[in-house]
Amino acid sequence: MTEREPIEERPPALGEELESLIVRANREFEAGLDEAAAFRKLSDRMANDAARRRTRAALAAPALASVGLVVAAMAVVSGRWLERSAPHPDVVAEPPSARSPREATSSPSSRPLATASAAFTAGPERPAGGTGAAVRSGSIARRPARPDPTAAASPASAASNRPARPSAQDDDPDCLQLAREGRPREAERCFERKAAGTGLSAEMALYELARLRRDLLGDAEGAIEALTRYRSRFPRGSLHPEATLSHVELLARVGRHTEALAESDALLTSPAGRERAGEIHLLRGNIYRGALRSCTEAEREYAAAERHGGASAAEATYFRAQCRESVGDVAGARAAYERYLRGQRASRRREVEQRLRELSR
Amino acid sequence: MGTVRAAASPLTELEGDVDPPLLDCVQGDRTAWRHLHRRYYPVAAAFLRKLGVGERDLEDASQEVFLQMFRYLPRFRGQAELKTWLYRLCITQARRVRRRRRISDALEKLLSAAPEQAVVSEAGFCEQAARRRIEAALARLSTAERTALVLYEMEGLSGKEVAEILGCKEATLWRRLHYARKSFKRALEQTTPEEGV
Repeated sequence: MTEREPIEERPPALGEELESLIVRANREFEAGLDEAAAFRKLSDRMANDAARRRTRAALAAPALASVGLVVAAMAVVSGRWLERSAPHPDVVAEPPSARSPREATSSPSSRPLATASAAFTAGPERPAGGTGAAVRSGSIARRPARPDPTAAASPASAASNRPARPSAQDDDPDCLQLAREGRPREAERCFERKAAGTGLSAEMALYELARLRRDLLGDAEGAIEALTRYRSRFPRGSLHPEATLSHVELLARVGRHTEALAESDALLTSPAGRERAGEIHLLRGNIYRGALRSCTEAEREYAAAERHGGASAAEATYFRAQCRESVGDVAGARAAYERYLRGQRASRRREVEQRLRELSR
Repeated sequence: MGTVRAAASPLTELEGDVDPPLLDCVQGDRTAWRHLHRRYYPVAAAFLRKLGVGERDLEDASQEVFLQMFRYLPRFRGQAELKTWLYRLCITQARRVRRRRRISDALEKLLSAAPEQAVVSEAGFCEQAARRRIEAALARLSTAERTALVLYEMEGLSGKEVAEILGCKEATLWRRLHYARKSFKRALEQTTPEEGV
């Protein structure tokens, strides 16, 4: 008789070797994830979804209004027919045209039609302003919407309460698509138009405008201008940390080193800056090394970047080695290059191996 | 097991962090959303990968998870932990991706234009090799076994938490895990360290 396995109890440990394999694999499963980019795309999609909803509402309004008019007409015709076929004391008391829709419902036979039409026509208790306004103030606009954080968060949600225009699609074109199609100037104008609005879509548009100018148009000054606008208009914007970091990078790129250093220094004291400290120290190190020719200062920044780990740390080690090389410290450079190769993010492996070979000659 | 499971879990590393006030998120405070996303995105994306969601579907899948999360956050009553809910959303999403992928793979095969996903081989990187081995072994498990094993062994959740996420009794979980571990070990033995996915 075989012994029954205790399969309904907590299992024993997997074993040291397997556990170590899992730990290493876990590290790799978590590697290479760009949270900031993911959030940017998510926000973009939410803004687009909100725009699509507005467009749908705008397109649905005239259609529903037409249905309403037809129903109302049918109600009137039906009322007249009823008057002719079976005169009712309430109905004949005054002509149908003079009665309000609510009063019209007093006739039991015409109630369903009249009630339906009342939902689409301006009655005494409804705001004036035509059929469209009545539709918007009616059941469609007032139906409790599915909880939607975009609508809750964005002033753009107010747009859904404003009179919807059939041209909502024109107001929310896919500017990124224009850029993808190789029409960056049109994309720029498109983003500018969107950025002139309010809410999440304006915020995203302003940030994307900066990226477009920086990456596609090569217009660093223009990108700085867009980022400056973003930061002043959306001081609590969801992409504020990215905008500030990009601003610092661009300042360095256009040679405004002192401003870049001052701004990055301030950024390091903010919570968002502390989260990106590795990148910021690396950037500062590059300014000191490349533009200000100060390896001492640069190395201090690179050392700080190394302490924060991640991809920036590997780069910092590499540039630290270059600094050592530039001051003629071969042993220091070799040690730094070797440290770089031992890391897991050695994307410059071939180049570093070449440097090491040359240094050992 | 304890040490590894604790070290393996991205959530345990986060436990010291504080969730943004959910009320702020519900009220549409974008900074609070951002905080929530920054905290949970790495957990969700890594978990989706472990459930077999490929890189080409990962962006869409994690976006869907957070769209659902943001959309339904007002209905979240805090009866379960947020991370438990997040894991459930991921499991549902991974299932959808698998279904879609099966269809599109079948179509690609039909059209004889199956672009195989390039596996970037960086020999010497032990983490990448480990991931490839684990992925290869996980791919041989059934969906239910894989989910249970990933949640318990890789995410480092307790049996109670995993049972809650999977909506089963703890005894059922242990049984499932027992078979999952057997298959997993067998599959690992059959894969060489160099084997890709």
